[in-house]
Amino acid sequence: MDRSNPILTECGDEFDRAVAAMSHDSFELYERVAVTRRVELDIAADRCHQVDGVERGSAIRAGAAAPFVASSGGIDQLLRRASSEMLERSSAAAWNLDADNVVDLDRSAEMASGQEMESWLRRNASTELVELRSVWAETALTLECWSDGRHTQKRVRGRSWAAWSPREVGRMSARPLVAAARNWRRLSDFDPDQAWRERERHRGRAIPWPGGAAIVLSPDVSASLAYRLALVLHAPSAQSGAEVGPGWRLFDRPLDRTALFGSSRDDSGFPTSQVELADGERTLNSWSRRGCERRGSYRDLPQPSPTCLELIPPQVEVPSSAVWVTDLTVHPGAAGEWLLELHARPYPEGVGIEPHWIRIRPAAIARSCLGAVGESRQGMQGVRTPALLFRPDFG
Amino acid sequence: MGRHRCRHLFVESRHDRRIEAESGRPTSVVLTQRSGASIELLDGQRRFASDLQPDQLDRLATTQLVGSAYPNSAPKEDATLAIRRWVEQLLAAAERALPGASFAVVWVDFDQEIVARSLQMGRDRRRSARVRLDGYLQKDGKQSRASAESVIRERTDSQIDDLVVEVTERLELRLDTQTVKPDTSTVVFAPGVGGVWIHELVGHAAEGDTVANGESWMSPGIAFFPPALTVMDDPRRGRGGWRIDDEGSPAQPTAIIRDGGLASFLHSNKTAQAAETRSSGHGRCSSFRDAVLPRLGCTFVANGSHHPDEIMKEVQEGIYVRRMESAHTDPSSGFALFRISDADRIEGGKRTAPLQSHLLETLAVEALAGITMIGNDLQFDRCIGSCHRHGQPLVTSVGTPTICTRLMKVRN
Repeated sequence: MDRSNPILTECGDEFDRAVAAMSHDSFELYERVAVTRRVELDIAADRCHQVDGVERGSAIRAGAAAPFVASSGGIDQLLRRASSEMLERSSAAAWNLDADNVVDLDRSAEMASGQEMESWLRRNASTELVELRSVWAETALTLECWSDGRHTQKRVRGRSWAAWSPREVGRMSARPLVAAARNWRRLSDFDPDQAWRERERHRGRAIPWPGGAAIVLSPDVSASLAYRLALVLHAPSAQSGAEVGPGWRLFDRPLDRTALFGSSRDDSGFPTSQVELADGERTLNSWSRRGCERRGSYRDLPQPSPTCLELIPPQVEVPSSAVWVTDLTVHPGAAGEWLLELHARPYPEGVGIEPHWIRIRPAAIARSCLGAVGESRQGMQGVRTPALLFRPDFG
Repeated sequence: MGRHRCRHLFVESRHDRRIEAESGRPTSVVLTQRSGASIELLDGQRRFASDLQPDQLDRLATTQLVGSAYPNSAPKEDATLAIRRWVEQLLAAAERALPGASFAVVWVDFDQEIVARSLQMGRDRRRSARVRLDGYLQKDGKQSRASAESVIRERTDSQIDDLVVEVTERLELRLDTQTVKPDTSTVVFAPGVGGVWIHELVGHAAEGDTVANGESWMSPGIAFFPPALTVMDDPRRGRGGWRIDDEGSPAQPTAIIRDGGLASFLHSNKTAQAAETRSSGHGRCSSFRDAVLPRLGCTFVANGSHHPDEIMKEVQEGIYVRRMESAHTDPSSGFALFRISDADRIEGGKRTAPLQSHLLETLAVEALAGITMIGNDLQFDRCIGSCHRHGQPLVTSVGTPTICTRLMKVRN
C-alpha cells in the first residue's frame, strides 16, 4: 500500500496485527490517524505561525447494548480500556461489513509543505474588498481502518481548508470565508475576491426590504440552507412524495471523487451509492440508508447523515425586482416552524437592505425554489450548489 | 520538566462518559479517553501529538525537555454501571409520573487532568457531571415539550424527584401556550437563567483578545451601567471549574463590572502581555490540538437588594423567562439573540399563561442600562450548555439572581 506518510503505514500494519489477535467473534474495531499541518498568517504582524500535529485514536463496539469505547493512542491501549468497560457484553453484532477486504486509496491526497502553504497564503491574503485580520490554511491526511473480524477495510484521504477572517463587520458578513477541497492543489480553484463580492451587503444607508422581491441566495447561503432542509425534508421519518419547486433537484453523490466527503465507503465501511432525493416535482428518497454513516472523529459513534449533497436545478432568469441574500440564519420556532433572519442587498447590486425576518415551514422553502443563478460551488459541508432563486418571501 | 526551550507546554489526559436513555430504546453508553501534548516553541511554531510517551516530548520540541509523565486521571470503571442504572431509574420515574408522555435522559461527565507550563507551571484536575431530562407530550391534538437540567455532585433519589416534577409539571402546563406579540417587552429572568444573558452580553465582550482586536463594544471609560450591577467571572466556581488554567496560571476571580463601572477584562498570558497586565488565569483550550484563548469560566451577577417577589410586583406586563436554549452574540456591536424555550406571561405582577417558544433580541448597551432591579437570590448552573468559541467547545457556568430589564425585543 502506497501511503505518503510513514506513520500511516506503521499504524495500518499495527491495526492488521491487532485484528488477527482479537479473541471475540463479534465486534467493530475502528482506527483513525490524522496528520495535519496548519499555517496561519497574522496580517497585522506579517508573520506566519505553523502548527504540525498527529492524532491517533481507535474505538470498539461489540453489539448495540455494550458500551462504545474510544481511546487515543494505539489499539493495545484501547483494548485494555475496553476490557474493563465491557460490562454487559452483547452477542448481537452491530457490525457486518459485507465485502471482501478493501483498500480505498485517494492517490491525489498529499500534504503541502509549510513553505508552499505560506506562499499560497501570502498570494491570497490581499483583497481590496475587505480588511482581513488573519488567513489560515490547513492540510490533512487521514488513514482509517475498520474491521468486523472477518473483513478489514482501509481508506486514505486528503483534505484541505482555508479561511479568511475579516476585521471589519457590518459592511461585510462577519463570518469567516471558508474554502474546502479534497486536494491541496484544488484550493487554487477558489476565488476569494469573487466570494467577498458575493458577501458584500452594506454600502451606505440601508433601505427597507422591498415587498414582492424575488429572493436569490448566494451559493454559500444556498449550501447551508440546503443542508438544513435536507435533514428535515429527506429525513428517515419524512414521507416521500411531498411537493417541491422546480429548482429543488437534489442528489446525494458520495461516489463523486471530487466531493469533499466522497468515498466508495462511508465512515462505517459500508459501500456508498448515488441517490436522487428530489426531482423538481416531488421528494423521492431519504438520505438515510446503509452507506451514509459519518463520524466526526474516532470518539464519535457513526451517525446517519447526508454525505455529498448536490443541487442541479435548471438555470433561470432573475426577475427585475430581486434581492441577493448574503447571510441567512435559521432559528427553530414553535411547532416545527423556522424563523429566518435574512441580510441582503438589491440584486445584482446596490445599497444595503434592512434585515428581514420570515416565519415559515421548511417544506414551503423547497416548494418555492425556482432554479439556479450562475455556476455551482462546493461549500463547507460538502454541499455543491449554485445561487438559488426563490419566490418572494419563500411563498 | 525543569529545563526546556519552549514558550508553552500543555499535557492532558481526559475521560468522557455519555449515557443516553430514551423511552422504548436501548440505553447507549459512550466512553472516551484522550491523552495528548502540545508545545509552542520560541519562534511561535506549535506541535501536538496524541499519546506521546514522556521521553518523546523532547522529540516534539526538537530540543531537550526533561520529562514529565502524563497526568494520571484514573477512569472510574465501576461507576459506569451505577450511573447507567441511575439514568434508567430517572427515565422510569418520569414515565411513571406522566404515562403517555415520552422522555429522554442524557448524562454527560468528564474527568480531566492537565499539566501546563508557560510563565509558571501548574497541574489541575477538572471534573463535571450533568444530566438533562427532556419530555414530549401529545394530548387532545396538542403537544408540548419541556426540559430540566441539573449539575450532579452526588446521585440521589431527591434529584430524580426534582427533575421529574419540574418536567412533568411544565409538560402539562405547556399544552396550552399562548403566542407572544413581536414587540418591546420588560423581561424578568428566573434566578440562574439570566446568567446566559450576562455571559453573552458582558462576558464575551470582556475576553482579552476581543478587546485587543478592537472588536468589543465595551471600552474603558464606558459608564452607564446601573450602580447596583456587579458582574464577576470566577473560573474556580461552578461545574467543570478550574484552579489552574491551560497555561499554568492560577485562576483569579475577576470583576468585569463593579458597582456599575467597568473594572477589568479576562486574560490569557498572550493577551495580558499585549495589555501590559498579568494573566487572570482564563487561558483555556478545548484540547491539546487547539490554541489557548481567553475563555469565560463562571460568569455571574452578584446579588442585589431586592426580594424576587418585590421585583415581580413591579412588573405590570412582561415575560418571565424560565429557560433559554441557545444564544449568540456579536461582541463588537453588543447585539445578542436568545432562543427562549420556556417562559410565562407576566400580568399585574403575577405569572400567568405559559408562552410559545420565541426569540429575544437586544443591544447590550440598552439591555444593561434597562436593568431596573436585581434580586437577592443568586443561583448557579440552571442552564448547563457548552460555550463554543472559534470552534472550541468548553464547559462554562453562569449564575444570576432574579433580574429585571426593559427594552428586550420579541421575535416570533
